[in-house]
Amino acid sequence: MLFALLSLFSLVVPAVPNDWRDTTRQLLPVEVIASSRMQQQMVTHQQWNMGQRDWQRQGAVQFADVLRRLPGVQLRDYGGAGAQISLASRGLGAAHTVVSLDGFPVTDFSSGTVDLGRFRLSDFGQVQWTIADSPALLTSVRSLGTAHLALSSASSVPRLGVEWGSFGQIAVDAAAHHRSGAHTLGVQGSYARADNDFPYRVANGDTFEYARRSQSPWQRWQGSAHWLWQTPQHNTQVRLNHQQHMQQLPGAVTLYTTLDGEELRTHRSAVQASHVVHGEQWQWQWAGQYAAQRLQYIDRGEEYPDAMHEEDYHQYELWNTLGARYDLSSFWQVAYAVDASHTTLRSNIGRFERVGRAALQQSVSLRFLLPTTMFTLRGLRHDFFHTVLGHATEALPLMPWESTAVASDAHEWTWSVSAAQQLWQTRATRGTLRGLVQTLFRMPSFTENYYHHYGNAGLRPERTQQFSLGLSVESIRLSSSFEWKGSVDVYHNRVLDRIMGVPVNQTVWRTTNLDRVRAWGVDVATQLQFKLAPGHSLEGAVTTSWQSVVDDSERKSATYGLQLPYIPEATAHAVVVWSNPWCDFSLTADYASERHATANHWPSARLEPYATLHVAVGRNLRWGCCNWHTQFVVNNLTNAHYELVRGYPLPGRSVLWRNTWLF
Amino acid sequence: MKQLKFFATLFVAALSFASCVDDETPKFVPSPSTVLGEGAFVLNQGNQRAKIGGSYSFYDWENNELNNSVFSTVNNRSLGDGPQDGVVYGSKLYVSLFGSNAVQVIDAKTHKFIRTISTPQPQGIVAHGGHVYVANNTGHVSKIDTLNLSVKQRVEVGPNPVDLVVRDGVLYVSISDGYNYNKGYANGKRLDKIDLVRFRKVGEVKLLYAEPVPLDNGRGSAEGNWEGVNPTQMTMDEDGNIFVVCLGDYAKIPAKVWKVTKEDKASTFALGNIAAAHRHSLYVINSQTDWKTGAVSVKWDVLDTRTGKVLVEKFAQNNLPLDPIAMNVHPRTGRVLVTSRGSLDAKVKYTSPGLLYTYTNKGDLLNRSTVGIEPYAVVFR
Repeated sequence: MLFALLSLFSLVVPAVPNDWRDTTRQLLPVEVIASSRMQQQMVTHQQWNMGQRDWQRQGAVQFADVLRRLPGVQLRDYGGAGAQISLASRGLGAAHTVVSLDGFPVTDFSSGTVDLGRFRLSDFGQVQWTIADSPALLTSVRSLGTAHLALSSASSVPRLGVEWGSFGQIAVDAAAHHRSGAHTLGVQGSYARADNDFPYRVANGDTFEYARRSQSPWQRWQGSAHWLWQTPQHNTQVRLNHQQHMQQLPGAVTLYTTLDGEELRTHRSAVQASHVVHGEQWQWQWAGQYAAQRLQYIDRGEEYPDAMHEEDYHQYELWNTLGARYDLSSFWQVAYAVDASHTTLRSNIGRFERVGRAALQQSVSLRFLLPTTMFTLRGLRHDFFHTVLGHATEALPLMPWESTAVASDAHEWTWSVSAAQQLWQTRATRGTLRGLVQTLFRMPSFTENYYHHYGNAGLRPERTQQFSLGLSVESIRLSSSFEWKGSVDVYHNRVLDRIMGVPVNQTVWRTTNLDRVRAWGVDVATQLQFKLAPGHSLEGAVTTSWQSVVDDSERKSATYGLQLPYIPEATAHAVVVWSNPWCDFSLTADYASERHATANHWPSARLEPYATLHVAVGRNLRWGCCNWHTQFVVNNLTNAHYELVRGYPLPGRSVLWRNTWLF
Repeated sequence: MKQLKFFATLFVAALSFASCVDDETPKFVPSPSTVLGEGAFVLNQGNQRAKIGGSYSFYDWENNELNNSVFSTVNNRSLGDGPQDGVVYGSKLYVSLFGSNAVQVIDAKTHKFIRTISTPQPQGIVAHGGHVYVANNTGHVSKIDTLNLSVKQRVEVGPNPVDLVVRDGVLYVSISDGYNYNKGYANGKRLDKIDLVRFRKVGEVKLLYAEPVPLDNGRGSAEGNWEGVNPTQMTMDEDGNIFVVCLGDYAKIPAKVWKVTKEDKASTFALGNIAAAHRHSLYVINSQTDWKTGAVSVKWDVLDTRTGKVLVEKFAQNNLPLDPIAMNVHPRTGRVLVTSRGSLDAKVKYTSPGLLYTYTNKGDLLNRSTVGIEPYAVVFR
């Protein structure tokens, strides 16, 4: 009803063009040269960018909506607002995905994977997804990985945002800033909550049982402040941020009972600073971060001593990166970067009171660049050193594979070679071929090394070999009413010494280097834009991926040659946006083929293929002194029942209404 | 004189037979449940992590047929999550479902579902005197009325009880304190006693022995720890001696079988992690997993419940189960049924079908069949 009234109101309030932009801000350490569309001509890797205006037009209101649009990704979403979400790509685990926010790493050394469910889309102004290399020659070593999700905070242009949605979703966010010459001071804050009591169904024989998710409320507070100093020669920024997150975890859906919820609370704070100086032929940069994180998991029940089981993790990280780039000539560039970090973890679940890891990572990069050719060579050295302090209570019995030994220090060289070559350019089109070969390695997480009984200090790092070949084609006639772009990427990955947990008996698991994985895949992406009439445009985008990610360990094994758990063989995403003087109307569809929850594809653990449809309508208005963007979204229009993690159904049909006022 | 020698010979022969495994001659009145037709229910746990539901396989001995999906076929629904134990009482089968927080009541003959009784985290289950008793992992024992099929009463016992056995009107409950591993299972290591008339806790049996006892199944004395750490499954012989499998701490303290006499005297009896009693024989399996290779070594002996002496060493040596989980001995025939995982591959060990081995009491393999995932218990009809 409220939306209907506001819609009527909007008929008399003047609309503003649907292409107003946020205030731009230079980012560190990535040189942002890509537009909000697909990758530009000269990149050696697969890259995808999306800005705030893009996801507003396309009707994405939640962070998971944007993540689903990324090509070649596997998302694990436990369902509902604030639920845990992890992102993996090309058959590699989520621990291989690097996440950064405003150029600073977002990490979780205890588990090794970043929970993306703690973010809200309104926190960001831009999302950039890069596979296998970085667009910038000079970049922190930490950001060079299998895949990089680079997030940029929303600008601090004064704004107020309010959301209402199904299942008790409410969110409020606000930002303000003060500018004085080259200096900007900004603050942002937000609060969000949801009941997450969405209906679901669970199969029982040939019939379904219908119930409602209970005991899964969630709420989050987040605040940040920053100071920017920007001149043509240098950029300096200092940021403070804090986030608190409380959630009841409902547990997997179980027949004939409703499980009591477990609690998860996280507190995160960070102090960040960076300084970048540019010259005509050179650039140097420094960035540093001190981050503290506490995670508490609490399960209450009479079965536990003192009627409660609590896991408490305190994690601290000090990270610095220092680097320089020099242009040897108009064709050659060289860069050097060094990252130093120290991370400690304390928990009541490990074998030690405190474990620490110091890392020194260096990279030397060389680039050859012509208007139609790019070649990049990177050599990386990784050094990791481990320390521990104290021992857990002496009463803890050790498993046969456990000891009080510390994980071994590790030293490793890896390298990366990438190239791009324009194959043709005519008046109408341009085509570019790109390729990449690289080796990577991933250190075991603290959980994998030291978790009580599960951890194994003798683990070797995971090693990966990546090969990728891609072709991008795009139209270049600017006066045309029809523009299009397309790309095809073929890749092959081999993972050696994959770390996984295996059961020793029914109650105890341990980590080991067990697996080899072989992955082949094809990612196809297309984008079309039609200018229908003045003020009317039609935009469409489709991404599809086919991937074979199989166990390559032992031929006689029951799992040899089978697709790994939870990785679909095919995924697709399509969006159509009609922009007109009154509104942006979008229709979005997602598809994933069948998946399996077990390595041996047990029939009853199969997850059905699913397809979902979403529709959104949004409008920009001018209201007094502010710009007002209102958007109404219906997610999962057909009320499809599906899961990304077995036992955790995702919400069916739901609505969300978001309003943003820019002052 | 000749007659004296003859009878003496007979007497000596009789003595020597007394030291062997009991033969198959029935010596007791069959339980009323046999009117349902003899067979065995194998409770399959499935896999909770992958949300593979529980089930049971039924081996119909009269028709020599094994059906791995009889419940879902008859009822068009899943049994539930995490079956732990079961008992046939009267005409019904009662199955405790840990994951589903319930006891399923099923017609033992037709396999038709009757009712779901909610009770938290049920584990062991036993029937006596018109009632079914369930050990709840939350630290209780629930009493279910078999007429109206509902929980009638609950009594508090020690932390994390696992199994139950009835002896002389008293319910013995193994108290593991299994969730308290950080403090060495300090509040377990005992059996709680519940008087079934008043349904009240009336005592405890501490699993603590003052002196080392030589264990006859090949391992020498029980050096080190003389406490029954982590008591779980129980079984009882013809004389009323209770045998308790104490699983230890999975690291330094090995699994042992303890004996609790009718006078409630406790002592270590054998090394092993699976045990089943039949008359005066105790079948004990000691299986060990090599964590480096994943290989499982299985040692299986039969001991005299009265003396602790090994009656048969290396029982069924030529056809040992691959990775044993549970064992039960049929009261009338003496057939020994052992369940096992079907694969040692760590990646599929807990998501692959299991096996059911059926042996004679001499150790000859009669049958090996494929059953469901993680066959956790054998219940006779």
